[in-house]
Amino acid sequence: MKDEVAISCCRGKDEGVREIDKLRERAGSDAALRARIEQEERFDQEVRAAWQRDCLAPPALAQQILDHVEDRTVRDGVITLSRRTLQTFALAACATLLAVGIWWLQARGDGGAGDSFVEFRQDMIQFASTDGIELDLKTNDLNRISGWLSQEQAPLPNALGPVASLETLGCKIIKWGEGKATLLCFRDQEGRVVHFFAIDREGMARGPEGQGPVLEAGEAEGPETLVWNCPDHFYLAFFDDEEVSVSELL
Amino acid sequence: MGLTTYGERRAAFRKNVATTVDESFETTVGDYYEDLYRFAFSLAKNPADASDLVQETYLKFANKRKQIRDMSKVKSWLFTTLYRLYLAIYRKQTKFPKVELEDAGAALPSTPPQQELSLEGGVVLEALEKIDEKYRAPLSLFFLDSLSYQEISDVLSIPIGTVMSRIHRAKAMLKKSLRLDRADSGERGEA
Repeated sequence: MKDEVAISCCRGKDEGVREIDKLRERAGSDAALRARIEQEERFDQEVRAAWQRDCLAPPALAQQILDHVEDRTVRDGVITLSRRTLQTFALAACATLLAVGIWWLQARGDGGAGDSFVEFRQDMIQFASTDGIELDLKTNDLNRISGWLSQEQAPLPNALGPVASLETLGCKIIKWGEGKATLLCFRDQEGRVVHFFAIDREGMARGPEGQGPVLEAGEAEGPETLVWNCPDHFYLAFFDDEEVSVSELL
Repeated sequence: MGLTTYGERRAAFRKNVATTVDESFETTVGDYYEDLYRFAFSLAKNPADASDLVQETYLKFANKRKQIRDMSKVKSWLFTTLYRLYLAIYRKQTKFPKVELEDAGAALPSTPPQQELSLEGGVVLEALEKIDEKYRAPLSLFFLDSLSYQEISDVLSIPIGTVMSRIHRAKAMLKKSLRLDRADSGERGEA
């Protein structure tokens, strides 16, 4: 069955996918297998050619995209200009109130849900340290979780990174600030729970840089964390047990 | 002297504000819109919705592209965004109940083996439409041939192993629909 899956997925360009690499290696000395792969690839080519022939983008679509984007941008911009005078006063008043509010919150030592990833990290560590987290959806089916998060319009992780291979336990949506964060819980082979959080990166300051997971050393009262990002989200992961080094996931 | 008409304000805005549609944006449109359209069509199953999905995807890209730090990931970003837009908008509007592959497979009529591969006149499109979206999405990305398995996995938010098994099952169903199921019909005489 595994062979059949790999044969179906051969495209002649997917080096690095273990199953396909192994299959091609075996096909080097197995004429029957090689013929089977070639037969499958011929089928793929015929279907691909027919699909590309029959499913053509409308000739004007590229120009429509450019017009659509420019119109929407310009329209929004014109509306902004025409209301600028009134908005200037309103914005100035709001900014003053906001500044006073932030100063007041900071003065009383309660920052609330802020917009920096550092605060998000601290809040999520604190959240995870509370006993008895009740998951909204308990399942080991990532597809079901994905569908449910989409339906709830919560951050939908698309780069699970080092936790991708772990057993999924379920998920929970957490209200943070004005938005939502997603918590996915995983279990490693030794039964230890890993908390994985995703948050929209839009409007979030001081998030992790770079492409791969970055290990952040634990603070005095917090666990080590892994942080990484994708175009839409920032990600944060750490073990439920502070004694376990999250570097084990790397 | 203020600007009095909408046209004047529009012209002023065009002149003074850095336009969203620049050369690199146009290049990105030219590079990917056809593949995005095919993927959108395979999801939405009609040209109008497919075009809308592609346009909205590029609008989102125009607004967010400065936040994309790694421009080599633009292609994945576009496909991911389109897929999410589809999930958020069109999937909710689906009027027909979802049919699992196993059920659908059982419901397909048993067909005699066919010796020649005939894929004329939209036969492939029709066959693809019959496949449940869960399997159709990875299969479409497979046939587009422009994303690696890791990228397909990222776009659909499922592990690579799941991507591959879904492609395999989707192809089995496609073959059955095209009356080419080799398991039933044996070799086609080509090998």
